[in-house]
Formats: sequence, structure tokens, C-alpha cells
Amino acid sequence: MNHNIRRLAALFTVAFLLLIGYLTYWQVVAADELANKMPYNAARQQAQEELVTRGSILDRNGQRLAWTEKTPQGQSRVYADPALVHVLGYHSFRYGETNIEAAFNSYLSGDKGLDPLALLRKEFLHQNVAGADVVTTIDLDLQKVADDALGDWPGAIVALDPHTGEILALASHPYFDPNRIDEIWPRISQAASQPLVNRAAAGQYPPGSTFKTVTLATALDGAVISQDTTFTNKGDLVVDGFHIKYTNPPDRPTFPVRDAYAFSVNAAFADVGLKLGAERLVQGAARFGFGEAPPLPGIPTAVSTVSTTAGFLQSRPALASTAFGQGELQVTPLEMALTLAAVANNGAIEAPYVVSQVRDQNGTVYYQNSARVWKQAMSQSTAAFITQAGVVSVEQGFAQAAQIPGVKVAGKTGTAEVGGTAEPHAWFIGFAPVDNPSIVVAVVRENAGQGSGGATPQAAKVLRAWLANHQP
Amino acid sequence: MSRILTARPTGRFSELYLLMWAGPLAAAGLATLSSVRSGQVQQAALQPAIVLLVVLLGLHFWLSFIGSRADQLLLPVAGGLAALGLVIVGRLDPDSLWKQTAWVGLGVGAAVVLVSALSEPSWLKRYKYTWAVLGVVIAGLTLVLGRDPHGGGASLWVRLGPAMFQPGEILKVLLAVFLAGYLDDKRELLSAASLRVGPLKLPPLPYLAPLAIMWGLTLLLLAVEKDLGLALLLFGLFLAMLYVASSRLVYVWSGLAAFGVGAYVIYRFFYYVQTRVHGWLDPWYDPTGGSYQIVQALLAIGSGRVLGTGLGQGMPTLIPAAVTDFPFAAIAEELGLAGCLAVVALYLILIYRGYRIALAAFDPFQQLLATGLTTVLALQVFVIVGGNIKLIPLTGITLPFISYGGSSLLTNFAIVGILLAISDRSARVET
Repeated sequence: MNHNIRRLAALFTVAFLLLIGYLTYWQVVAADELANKMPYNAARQQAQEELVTRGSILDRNGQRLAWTEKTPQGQSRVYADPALVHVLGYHSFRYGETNIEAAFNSYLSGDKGLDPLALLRKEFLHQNVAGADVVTTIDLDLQKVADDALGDWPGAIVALDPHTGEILALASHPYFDPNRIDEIWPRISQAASQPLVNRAAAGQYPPGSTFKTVTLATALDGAVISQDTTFTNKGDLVVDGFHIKYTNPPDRPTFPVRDAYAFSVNAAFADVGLKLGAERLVQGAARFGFGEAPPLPGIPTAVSTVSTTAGFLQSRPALASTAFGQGELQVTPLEMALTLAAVANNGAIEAPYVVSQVRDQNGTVYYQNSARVWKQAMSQSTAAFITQAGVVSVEQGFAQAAQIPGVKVAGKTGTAEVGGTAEPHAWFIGFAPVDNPSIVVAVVRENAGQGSGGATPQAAKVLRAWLANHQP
Repeated sequence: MSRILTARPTGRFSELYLLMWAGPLAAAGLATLSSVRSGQVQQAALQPAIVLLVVLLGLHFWLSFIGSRADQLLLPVAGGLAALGLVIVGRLDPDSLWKQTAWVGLGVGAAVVLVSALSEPSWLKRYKYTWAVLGVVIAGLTLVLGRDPHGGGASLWVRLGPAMFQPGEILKVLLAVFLAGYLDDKRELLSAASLRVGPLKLPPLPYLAPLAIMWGLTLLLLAVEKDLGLALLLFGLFLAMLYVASSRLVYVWSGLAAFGVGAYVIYRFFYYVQTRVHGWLDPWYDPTGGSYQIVQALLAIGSGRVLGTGLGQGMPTLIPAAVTDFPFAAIAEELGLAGCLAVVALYLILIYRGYRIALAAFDPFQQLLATGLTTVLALQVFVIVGGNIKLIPLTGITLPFISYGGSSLLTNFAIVGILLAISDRSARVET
């Protein structure tokens, strides 16, 4: 019997070792996997995050754009301006983070940037940790002007500083309220108006005549035409049976290339495009950043493309219509703003950025963005020439709505046909002051008709608001 | 070692020294909880620890007073676990802390009574059929009067005056006593010829009959009471004692097979059992429904990692019925793997001492009884800890000395009392 009792004891010893082994599996091997079992572990993760007061997000003047408030129910994230959701993103225990809230999460939540020893001590003592603050380049006042200008109309406005690449305002409508994300998510994720899409950085539109900026710069730098080239009004241009109307001619039989841009003469640009050829046009667009997503830490951006189907540009009518801004062109408002930024900045595109600094409450800086050139898009003389053409466009051409008393403005309108019976998308890109540009603005409003009336007045509001406080 | 601790004629200094740890253990835990909750250590929060120490010392001095030579490790280990139990109940359900303290006191009182009454433990054997009848009556009462106050699915509680009792807890002690007596009587028949039915060689009738009765009884418990845990525990106890008495593993295997077949049939027909088994096989299939409890328990266990979140710093109350069903998961979250290893080690010491007492016991009846009672403790720990960590399907068994529950504390301290009496009896022979 004693032998049997010993065997029984041995059996239970083995059984208990089995318990210990499996327990070790859960607490050591599978611990991370369990910790991230969402949403079932949401309560525990939330409690973990409650120990950290998430850092604030500030605008360029120190105004708070997003901050965390303590409430009896726990912490809640507050956004000063819901319309900034396409810049800041949102922070939700249920739906996670997006945009700046996501890209700079480790700083905001205090994981990165704090002295590791201090962090360990606070963790051990269960003391509250304060995350670092993120400083953006956004100007909240300008942002509000841009949002007012867009109104309820779907579209986007991008405003940036061409000399530094700082994003001053980035509006995308429709938007949604990040203060109520948990409550509205089921609705907005299904909405036909697609409020989740950031139209400013990731919305892809046909650019219309604003693309003539790329064609003109490429043709001038490639010596296909010169600054003195003139065009003659010969009526419709027929390319392999495809009629291109001599729309928008100035009231003269012969006119210089500058006026072809200012008055947006499609046939003239079709002609230039055919002379350039598909290969050089695509290469020229690549110098502006077409074919790659612009780098913008904190905000996901989309690629702008010259054509979407292979071999499309081998057809002459396709090449001709691409050269004046139709065809299969797909561009983002951000890319068009950067395109004109090259004109305003002597041919160079500064890498855009929206987060300038991360710092803690004591002023210690953990992250600092520095300006750098992203693309050398065109020569300095070509930039100067296109600037003059843009001034003519504003002073005499279709962009007259962008005039500002006492300030010289350069700009280009666009009216992008979308096919069928739908109204075209209205575009405007412009910058001011011409002598020392401090702002570039790109506006697109979906199905708002002509660029001259559908987008230019909105851009003018943004330019005026900025220049009122930033006259050199 | 055992000889040194148990054979000394006078003085129970090892026990006294080790007991001195139990009070401070509870005090430290309760003080931590108090400071986490209110930012300071409130003296009132420490009172249960003082009561515990006084009660345990009371039993110690009683044992010294009557000159007991009983094992000196049992009481400190059970007391240490009870101390941890107070801390965990205070953590998970502060309103029940004083009740738990009172039950520990009553449990120790029961141990005092048993140690004093059983100076000759073989006395129990004479009334073995009385215990069996008592057990059947209690089981029957539970079947008829059983209530389910917590809505957990099993009707195991019987109202007795102001308190709710779980008669199943006492059942396991009564069964161990009866089986020890019965098997001790029939041990002589071990070598008897097997019962032959045609080509089949069956165990002799004295084994076959109780085997069949136990099989039926436990499956009935499973079907009517839906209590997988108690069924597993009672049947496991029966098989273990049968094996120790008969040395015939074949009985164990055939018993397991019969139980398996019966359990499978019940599994097919009872939704409640299916839920538990499905939750065990794949908890992530229905994490917010049928397997919510086990999923929350696993998340708690995982979040504890090696050192735990610290007492009062985790969120074990997210687990439904944590204080009765998942105290181990709560320990795993707040005290971590380190704390769990300490708890499992304490149980291993307790079980090891229990089997030591069985080996050294005065007569075969007491040997069987000590084996049975120790096995009850071991099985409970394995079934509930295994259920908490999803090693086996979840059941409603309590974690001895730690889970909240009066019947459970009373019964487990009674087991300690009987084991103390048996070890005292054997020590008196040695000298």
C-alpha cells in the first residue's frame, strides 16, 4: 500500500508541474499576445493608458488643437476643431489612432522621449506619466478660414509655405468629429460621402488646366519651346481625328506662350505635349514628384500619376489631352500645391511637413523637423517665367477672382472634366506675394464647375487671410 | 525530518515559528490593499490578520496543551494559505472579508474539535455505514432542496438558518471516511478469484458493486446538478483510494473508461456541459458569450506576467465570480508567476505532508483515510487551478483555503484536523 501512496504522490507532483508549465506559457510566452487581444482586453489597456496623460497637439502659435481631459469616467481626448481630423487624426480606445495621433503615438503616450529610468520609477510606483507635446505647423486661424471657404461643399484646400514646406492649413470636406468617434464610427465608415477619406492628401482628381504648369516647365527646361515661342490661332487642332478646340484664346491671332498659359489654351498645350512626347512628359512630371507619394510624416499621402493604364500615352490624342490636364491624370491637391510651390521657390520643392517639433512640458526637445529639398522640379529661369505667366492669369486671365489689392498674386485655374453629365471639378492653384512668396494654396471643389468661379474665390479668401497678418 | 518534527516528546517550536509568518503575511497584504485604496494604511484594515493569527495560535497552543505530536508543517501551511485567502477576498470582495475571517475561525474550531475527539482515529471506521448514509442523505437533500443563488448553472446551495451551505463540500470528507473503512475491510479479498461472466473477467463483487454505485452517483450529480467539478473530484477520489487499496491499475483504467463514456453521453445531452467544454477547447470562438469568464481569466493571467501588477493594481474583478471561481487567476494577475509558484509550492508541501502522514499512519484504515483526504485536497487544487488556466475544462470547485466560501473553509480545515489527529496517533506509537 505504501508503494501505491508514493505513486499517487508522484502522479500529483507531475500534475502540478503540468500546471506550472502551462501557467508559465500564459504568463511568459503568450503574455504579449493576450495583452493585445482586442477588443476583449480593452478595459485593461485603457487602464494602462489612464496612467499616462497623453500629450497635447499644438498649432504653430501655441494654440491647443488636441488635449486630454480627466473626467470621472476616465480620460477623454478633446479636439478644438473637428475639421482638423484629417490632419490630427483621432485617438480612441476602441478604434485606435490615425494620422499624427498614430505616427507620434509613442511620444504622446510617453513611451518615447522620457528618461528611461524616470519612466521605470514612475511605472513601479504607479505614478502618472505625462506624454510629450507635438507642435504642428498648422495655423488654426487660417485653417478655420479654409474650412469656411469650402463650406458644405466636398473638396479640399492645401496651404503651405513654399520656402520651408510647412503645411499651414489642410482642409478636407466632408469631415467628421473625432470627439465623438466611438459613437459615429459605424455611420461614417459606411457613408457614401466618404468623410474618412483625406481628400487633401489622398484624394485623387483629374487636375484640369492646373497641370499645364508641369507641361510648360518640362517643355521649357527640355528646350522643346522657348520663352519667346508664339502660337497662332488656327482653329481646332485635329489629332488623329480627335478635335481639340482652340478654347479660351486671347483676342489675338498670334500670342506668346505666356498667354497660352494665362488664358489656358488647350490646343497650344496639346501641340507642346505632342512635341515633348510621352517619355519626356512622364519624366518631367516625375521631377515634380509624380509617381511617388509625397513624404509627410503624420499624414498618409497618395501617389499622383500621369496615366493609370499601361501604353495609354502611346496614343497621340491621349498624349495631347494629358498635356493640357485631362487624359488619365490623377493628382492629389497636395501634389498640385507642391507643383506650384516649385514655381514659387525658384524651382525647388521643399519636403512638406506638418509636425515641426516634439517637446515635453519642461521644454526638452525630442524631435525636430528640418527643412530639406524634396525635388528640384525646374530651373530658376523657368520658375520665374511661369510666375510671370501666373501673374498675367490673375491680372488679365481667368484667375482674376484671386486679385488682392496691393499684393501681386500668381495663379492658375483648372476645370477638370469628369465625364458624363456631371459638372467638372473646379481647381485653383496660386501663391503670393510674387516677390517673396509666403503661401501657396491649392483648392479643389468637386463638381463645382469652372475653376474661375468655383475655386478661385475660395482660394482668394485663404490668401487674403494669411497675407493680412503676414505682409513682408 | 518527519521524525524530528513529529517525534519530539514536547514543544511544537517549528509550528510556532512558522505560524508567526502567517499573521504578517495577511497583515502585509491587507496593508497594501488599504494603502492602494485610501492612500494610507488604516488600522481597522489589519484586524482580520490579527484575528487569523490569534485563532491559529489558539489551535497551536491547544495542540501543545494536549501534548499532541502531530505534524508541525500542516497547520502553518494551511494557515499561510488562509492568510493569502483573506488578502485575496479582501482584494476581490472587501464586503465578504469579515465573513471569510469568521469562517476561518470556525474552520480552525472544527479542527480543534476533531483533533480532540479523534485521539483514536480508527473510531471513525466503526460507523462507516453511518457516514455513507449521511452522505447519501446530504446528496439527496441537495438534489431536492438545492438552490442556485448566483445563477451559475449549478444548484449546489442549501439554506440553513442565515447561511447558505454547499453540502457537496462535506460529501467528499464523508466519502473518504466511508471508502477508507469499506476498502480496509475488503482488502483481504484482493487475491480472491475474479468474477467470471463468460469470457469476461470482472473484478470481484466487493469492488464491482461500489464501482458501479460510484459511477452512477457521480454521473447523476453531473446530470442533475450539472456539477462537473464535484463529479470529477468524487470519482477521482474513489479511483485513487481503490488503487491504493487494491494495487490494481486495471480497475482505475476501466473506471476511467466507464466515466468517460458516461460523461460523453451527458456532454451530448446537456447544453451547460457543452458550453464549458467548448469554452475550454476554443475560448476565442465566443469570447463575449459562453466563454466570457475563461477569456477574462486568461487575459488577467497574461497581464500578470512574471512579477504581477502588484496587489490592488490589476483588474481581476473583470472576471465574473472571481472571488469564488477564479481566485487563482486573480493571484496570477496581481502577484504574477512568482506568486503563483509560491502558492503551488505551498499546496505541494501540504500534499506532500499529507501523504507522509498516510505512509506513517498507525493502521491501514488510517493510511487509507489520510490518503483519501490528501487526495481530496490535491484533486481540488488541480481541478480548479487547471480550470483557471484552461488546462482542463472549467468547473465550480473552490481553491482550498483561499476561495471565498464557508462550507469549503470548514471542510478543508476539518481535513487538516483529521490529518493532524492521524499523525499524532502514529507519533505516539513511534516513541
